Amino acid sequence: MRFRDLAVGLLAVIYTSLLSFLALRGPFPALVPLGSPTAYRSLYIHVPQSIAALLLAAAAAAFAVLYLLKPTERRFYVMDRAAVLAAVFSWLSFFTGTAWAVESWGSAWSGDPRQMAVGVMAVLYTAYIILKRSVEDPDRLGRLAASYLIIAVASIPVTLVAPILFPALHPATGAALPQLAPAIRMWYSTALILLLAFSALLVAGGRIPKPFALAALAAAAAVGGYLLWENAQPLYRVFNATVSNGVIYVNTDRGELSIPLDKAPVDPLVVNGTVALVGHLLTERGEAAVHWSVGLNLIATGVAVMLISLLWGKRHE
Amino acid sequence: MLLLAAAAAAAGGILSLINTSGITDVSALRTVSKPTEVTVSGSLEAVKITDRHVVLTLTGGGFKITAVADRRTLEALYGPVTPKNFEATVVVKGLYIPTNQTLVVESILRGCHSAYQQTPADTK
Repeated sequence: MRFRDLAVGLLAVIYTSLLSFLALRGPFPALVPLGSPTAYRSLYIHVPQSIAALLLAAAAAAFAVLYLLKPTERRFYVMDRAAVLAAVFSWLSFFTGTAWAVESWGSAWSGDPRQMAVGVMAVLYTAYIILKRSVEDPDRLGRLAASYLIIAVASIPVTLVAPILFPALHPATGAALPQLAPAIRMWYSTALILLLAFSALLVAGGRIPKPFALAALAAAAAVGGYLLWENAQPLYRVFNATVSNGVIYVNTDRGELSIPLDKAPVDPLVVNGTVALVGHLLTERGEAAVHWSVGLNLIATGVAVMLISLLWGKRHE
Repeated sequence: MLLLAAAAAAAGGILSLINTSGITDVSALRTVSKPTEVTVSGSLEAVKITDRHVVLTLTGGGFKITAVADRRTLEALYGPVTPKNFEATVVVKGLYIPTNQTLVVESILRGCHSAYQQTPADTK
């Protein structure tokens, strides 16, 4: 096994294990405009994947320009791998964002400009894969693929400026992340760095050995499956909560729950004078359940890692 | 140069697609002539909560519409509805009827902007 493949495999396992941990225990904003605050754990999954998709598309375009200036096999190879990964990550970004939107925006599809732009980007980079397979002449293929990727890169600035130009549910580019609490930002940055390192090694020619891909998928599927199972039981949506005489009285869509103060489902319980339970999903025992979108997004990430491993498996050796 | 022109045209195409089928401003409803499914963003001018309905007055670009939502449906989704539930800009999805400038609300959407500045919490 090459050192680079070993490094990619290890990064794949560390990345999915970190996401699994954050899906279960990651900090989230205490008070949110809509839905369960736990849905914001998708921040660690969705946002780094979206950034990776944009950077990979930019890398593909940069190598496409270099290839057109001086065609070499190495330049085509890097351009091609970056473009294929841009397709995988833009679909992943679209899927994980849509699942998260169900809870935190109130609708899976709302015509949000960035959501649409990422959808278009996913289609454009998938079309690249189809285009590449449909051209048989290797001399024509290089120039055609490079030209296409220079045109497709138009989807990057559109994705970045769309929430500024049009009414949007996404925050404007760069506006939200600097505001993150340090605890959230630290885990978010760690997930982002791991994913970018993983992507860079893949673009440079690394492959995910199958045992590592299986381990990554197993970690994501185990935790994601547990979270989905948790959501399959009857859950209580919190509308309001008050604390009195050491008991938390919780008003939910299925009636009232009483929880001893020492078994508060979230920490901290009170933020700026407000009991930070509104929107949460609680089990019958008064424990907080993580929203299903986080589990689904985790499994999607594990499947994507497996897909990349299969895509660039032994047949290219 | 040809490639750059094609890239600019592609960007224009995507922006045009977003402009025609994305979230529109209330003012864009001025040109709608038949009942249409829309997602619109508007400035909240007034909120009226009756026994059965939540009525929002939304404005944009000098145009005003009335968005009517079923109170029970909203409460099942979001809990007790009070005027404080609504921010200065509201995004609603539903059927717009131009004859009486009314939008029958299917869902009220929320941006996630304000969540990012919040204190972090964790489940136990």
